[in-house]
Amino acid sequence: MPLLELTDVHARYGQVRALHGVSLTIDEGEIVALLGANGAGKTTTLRAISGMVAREGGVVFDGSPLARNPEAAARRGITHVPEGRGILAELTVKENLMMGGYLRRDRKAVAADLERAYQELPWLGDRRDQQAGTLSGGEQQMLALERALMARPRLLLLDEPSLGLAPLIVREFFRLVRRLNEEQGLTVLVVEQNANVALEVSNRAYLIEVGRVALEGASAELREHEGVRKSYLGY
Amino acid sequence: MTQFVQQVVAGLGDGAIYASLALALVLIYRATHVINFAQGEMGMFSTYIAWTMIENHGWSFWPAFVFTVFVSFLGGAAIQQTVIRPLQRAGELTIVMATIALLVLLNGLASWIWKPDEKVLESPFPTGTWSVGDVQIPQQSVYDLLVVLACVVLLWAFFRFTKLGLALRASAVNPVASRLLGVRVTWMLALGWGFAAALSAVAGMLAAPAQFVFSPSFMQVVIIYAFAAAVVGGIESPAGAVVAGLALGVTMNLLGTYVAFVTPDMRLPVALAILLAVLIFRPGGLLGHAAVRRV
Repeated sequence: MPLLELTDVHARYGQVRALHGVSLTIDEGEIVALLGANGAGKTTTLRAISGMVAREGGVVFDGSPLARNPEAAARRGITHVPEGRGILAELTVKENLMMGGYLRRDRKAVAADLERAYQELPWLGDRRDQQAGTLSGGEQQMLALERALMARPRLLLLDEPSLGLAPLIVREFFRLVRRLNEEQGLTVLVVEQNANVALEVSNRAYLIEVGRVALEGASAELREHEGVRKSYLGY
Repeated sequence: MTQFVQQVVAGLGDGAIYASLALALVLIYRATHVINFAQGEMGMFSTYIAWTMIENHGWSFWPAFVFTVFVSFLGGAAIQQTVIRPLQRAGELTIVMATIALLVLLNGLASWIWKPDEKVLESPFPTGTWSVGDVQIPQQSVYDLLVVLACVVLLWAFFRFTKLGLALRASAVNPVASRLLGVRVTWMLALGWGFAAALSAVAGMLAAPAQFVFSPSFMQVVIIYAFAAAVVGGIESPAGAVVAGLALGVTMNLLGTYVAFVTPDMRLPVALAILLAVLIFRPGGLLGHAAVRRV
């Protein structure tokens, strides 16, 4: 049984239809990428999952239907790092991380996770009392990831994490995602415009075109696919 | 010199009332991004509730005070959930209009329930003075200040040290991101309105005894001072609102004492002239700051 299953999901912004029936599955422990051009519906697919946009169709998480609001999705263990990272700019780095663990009741384990985050990224610990809005774009993206991990998510949704970041930082970011996936079995659904990076890090990928799944397959195979290469990889 | 010290203390007493109401405005501004024009009338309405408990039900002041703060908290949260929440999508101007409607409605409701004639809310504090050398320190002013400072410290500790307080701040800073982290943002906004209502209740219950008598319009001057304090303090800054409120109280008392043309009738225009002067030189307010943000 897949961890998440979307069946014929439609979504709209007011009168504008953005998804025309997306179906996809994610198994536990997978990294799945959503590829596609600007405006194809990748971000909307993530928003439909976490209930940020009105949707119709089947969304089943861990065997039961998922309610259509972000608070409920968060309570089921879905942590969505939105476009633009969703940093709480005027709060400190530490407060941002604490908010990641907002729904958890196990205070001691939260405190331990906070220490683990500081160990993983020592600069984060050094700057824990600094306003998060003063971090650079790359630092904010790393903070957003660490904050999401504080929730101990069952499914992590990442929206365009590479947007506006230097290639070196993008690599560091995905290296960490990959490691968490391998060591802790973290399940990830990542939306990326940068298809090269996305296919490198993911096990499987879906190609979205005008609100529908146009192509799906193992990432290694999609890299060899001629249409994908020409349209999205640029060689 | 003795007169100076006396006026400063009396000014701090007045200023404490402006400060608590200004803080209420700041809380709502941070949560909902509008000025709540009904804030003063909410405090007025709360004061009548306290008066009713004391006059009609024989309660003494402090139980009535605590009861009223609690009821006002629930009332503020209820107003947010029933009136403001449905308008959230309609935009800020609509919400501002709704708060103006609330102002008029609460005023009319109070006049209807309690009649427009003047009532007396006895001060819970001794009205005498302490003599320190030649200086006569008005006791009521000192106690008013202490009550407001206690409220401010409690509120600060709540926001600073509790998980719920952190979630409230997060909701104000970035509601969308907060929802994705599992925070029920609409509840947080209701809490914010609740705290604001409780603070304005405190302001009303301190202002009514200080003015000797009160009627349904007794908070309408106080709220203008509070607007001034909130704006001068930098509208998003709780500390700014408190400091500016206290400073405004002291300034008005000193001007009233030492500057001949600042008669009681002239106090409000002078206060607003100061407000304009401050804003011309510091548009963000005294303690306001441009939000630091990198993208």
